Amino acid sequence: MQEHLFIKKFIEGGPGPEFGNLRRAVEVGRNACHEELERSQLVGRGGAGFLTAKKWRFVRDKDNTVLICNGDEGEPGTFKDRYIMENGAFMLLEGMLISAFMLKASDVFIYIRGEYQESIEAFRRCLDDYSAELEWYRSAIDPSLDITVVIGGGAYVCGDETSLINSIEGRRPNSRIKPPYPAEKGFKDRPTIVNNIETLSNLPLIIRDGGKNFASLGVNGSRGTKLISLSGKVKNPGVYEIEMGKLSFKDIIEGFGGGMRDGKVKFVIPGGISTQVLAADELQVKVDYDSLRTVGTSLGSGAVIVADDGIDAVDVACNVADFFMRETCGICFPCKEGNRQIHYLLEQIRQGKGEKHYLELIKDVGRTACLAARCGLGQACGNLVGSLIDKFPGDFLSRISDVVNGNGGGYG
Amino acid sequence: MVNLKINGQDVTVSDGATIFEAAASINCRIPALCRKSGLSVYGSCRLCIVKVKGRPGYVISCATPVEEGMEVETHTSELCRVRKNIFELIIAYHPFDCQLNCLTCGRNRECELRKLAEEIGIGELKYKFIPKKHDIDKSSPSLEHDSARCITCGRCVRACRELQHGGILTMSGRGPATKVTTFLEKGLGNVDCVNCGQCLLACPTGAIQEVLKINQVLGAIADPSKLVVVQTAPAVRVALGDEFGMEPGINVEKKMVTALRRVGFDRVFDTVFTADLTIMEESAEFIRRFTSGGKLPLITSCCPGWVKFAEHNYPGLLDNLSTCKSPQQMFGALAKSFFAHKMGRKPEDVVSVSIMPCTAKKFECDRPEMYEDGLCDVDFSLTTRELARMIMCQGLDLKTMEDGEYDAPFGISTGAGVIFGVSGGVMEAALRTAYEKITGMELKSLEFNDVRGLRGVKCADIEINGSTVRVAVANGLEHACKLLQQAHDYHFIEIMACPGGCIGGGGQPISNAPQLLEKRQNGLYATDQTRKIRKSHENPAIIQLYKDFLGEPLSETAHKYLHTHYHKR
Repeated sequence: MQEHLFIKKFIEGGPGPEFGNLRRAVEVGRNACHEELERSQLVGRGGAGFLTAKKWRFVRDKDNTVLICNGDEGEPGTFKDRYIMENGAFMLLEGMLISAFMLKASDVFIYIRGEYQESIEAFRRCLDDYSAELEWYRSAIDPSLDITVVIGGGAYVCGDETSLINSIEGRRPNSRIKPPYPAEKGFKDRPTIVNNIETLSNLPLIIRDGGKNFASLGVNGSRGTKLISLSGKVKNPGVYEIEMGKLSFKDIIEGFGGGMRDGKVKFVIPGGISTQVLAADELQVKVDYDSLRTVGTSLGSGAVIVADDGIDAVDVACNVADFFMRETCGICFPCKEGNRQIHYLLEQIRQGKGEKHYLELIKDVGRTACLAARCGLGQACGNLVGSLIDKFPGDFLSRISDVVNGNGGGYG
Repeated sequence: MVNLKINGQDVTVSDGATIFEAAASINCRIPALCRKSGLSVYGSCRLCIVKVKGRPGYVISCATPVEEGMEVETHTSELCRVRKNIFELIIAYHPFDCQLNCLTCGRNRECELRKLAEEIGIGELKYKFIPKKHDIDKSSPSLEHDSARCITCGRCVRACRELQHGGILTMSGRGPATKVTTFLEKGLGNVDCVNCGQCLLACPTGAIQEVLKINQVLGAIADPSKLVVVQTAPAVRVALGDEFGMEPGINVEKKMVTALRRVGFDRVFDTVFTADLTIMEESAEFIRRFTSGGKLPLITSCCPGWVKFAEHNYPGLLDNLSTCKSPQQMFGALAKSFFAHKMGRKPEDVVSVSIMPCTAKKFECDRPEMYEDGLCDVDFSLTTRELARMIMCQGLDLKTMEDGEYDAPFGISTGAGVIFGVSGGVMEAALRTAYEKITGMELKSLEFNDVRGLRGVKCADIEINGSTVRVAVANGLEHACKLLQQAHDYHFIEIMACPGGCIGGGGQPISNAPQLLEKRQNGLYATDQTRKIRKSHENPAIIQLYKDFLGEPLSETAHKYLHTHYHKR
């Protein structure tokens, strides 16, 4: 099976002497570029799946907009932004400049995960390599263009855009109350657009091919291609590019992953640890935003983690709960206390000290956080654990003594 | 105006109001914990979530402005269930276990968690209690922070930063390690904290409390070799009643005097007496500086929170601070000198106790400058709340006390001293005396209305003998900072660290009664109004004290006992 090479092909084509697509964007003008973006139906690749053109509409008439490129890539199992930065920083930089041009943004930040030393170096090198292009941009478009590389401090919550903005401002990374949304009041109260690395890397392609051609890839609601970070118990983990809506998880695992190292698939985490797992009998679902929504989960950032049948759902749940507990910003109560409680209950179960009704309590906390938490981290924190309880109740019940001793019935 | 519907009921509120406020206007109380009026919106507790028709999910009512035609539901069954769950999650990580339960918590009588449990309708607690280590910051002479009782709602952090220009408290860590702490975790006693206690007033639980001295005081009372004298600050008398379910703002001084006697104090005196003395010294100091080209503006020094704040942040203004000790310290100095001598007792046999609306006073009486011949002026400073506990612990109820009178001579006082407890009061009292001293004429109207009220900054131009005295008053350190940007526009400045002055002090009873500060303020002004003597320099006991002991204001003896100095921190 072949990957759909679109972004990867552009990257493999190597850097050109100048940014042709940027020149072209400038030539056709801002409005035409915005029209192409509208036609492309590009949605943000960070996880929320929001239409990029719609987000940008909020600031189109504004001055003083700040553009922030989110390369924090903190989602466990995700490493596709790293792939772009290390192999195709020139594509990202061109995308950032096109975006800066379209948004009239002079202040551009790129926030890169601190552990990504190679990515940071690659991007900085790229800024040097293209200093002539930056000079051209400054003389032709905006003399005050300023690109700042910010090195992330290691907080998962910075995946939330308002937390990221706080971090860049030098504040404690915790989410802000919305509204106001960043497009209204973001970095230092200025209109701010935050987009994922992969999102902005699509801009040169949209300008090159036109929005209509871009939108001919994929299916309704999921246009273009998606970089998938495939990991777990497959033979060939890695970053693969797929046309959305055309392949199933089964295709990806077998076609790109080369099948399982040993054992059979037990479940797949389709889009990072904020998403609900797919059991082995659900793997025919197609990889696109709407198809996954239909089965109650999400494509997220495209972090596909494959677990085999040697893996215990309780261990995974504990691991994930521990992660969320440690990574909440600690401000909002449903998330901070909810994750503490979920973790505590799961640990009790793991150590054989749990009771059957804990399972319902865990799901209840997850629902409460989903309804009341302040940012996406808290709202999604119960998804994965809840789906493991629903889909693999036996793993949990076998650790619960009153069930094991025959005092309880089946879970339900 | 904006029209909306809340739970089917039509509501009209002004533009910019929040859903929370709109609901409150129709007496619909939405549970909330991190919200505190006067502080910025924080949005952490999520208890005040409501459903707005047409919007996905829920919004927090404390941060969402009303819109025309909005339809809001505040108490659907799902909302109630979610609130209950959030609340129970908080409780699950709050030490309600038997080693540390409500019985030992200083806030057990008016804990907001308990009130919320009622509002939310908590029956059984379904989540598991998670063991919690506690770690008490005992570095400060005034305040203790117990992280086990802290729910990290951030109200103290905001109160410190927003009301007091402090930024002393901050959040550190993330996830389970999130906590309220100080710079580099040095502890409240080792940072620039001024001990004002506004964090304590903002705290919904018992996480921040004053350093209790009740047992030490009861120990001194029980010791027959000690003569234990107590002084009561002006603002205490209009707040103590709150703790006994009495009408906010009424003056309970006569009942308080009886209660103090029954608790066992040998003499019950009044800080208002030394407030009058402060006015004698401070007005003399002002007149000297004003008429002979001394350093101006003169800035008051009664408030130990403000004094420490100035020592940290305004070292360039320390020469502008009045050298007068605060009334608490003047009282203590006299108790162990003049009074001890008069009673034929050794100074070390006199134990001097103060009842203050203040937590910073605990720090003040420990200042090394406040020791005379190795003895401190004031041995123990208790808050209004501690006094209430002490009265209760003796099986007494303030409401049922007979009226009593302060002991002479330090219980004789004027209306001018009484209003020390409100912002602007020191200024007004000083002007009453300064005016008559400078002009030699009687002041017709004693009320200086321009410096009264709860506004953060108040200014006035006073004509005295053809020259204009420009005065300014600030309460709350945030306002003080604003005023001090123009410090040199004025001749005389009064600063009180707490909002409203001492009536809003960090040692006062915690209450959500509406217009609390107004009521306490009115209580003190009403007391001033009914006093026969309303000018400090007409206090006969003060006149006698100068005759018998001090000589005249700013004399050498006065300097030895009644004045102090400051240092940059």
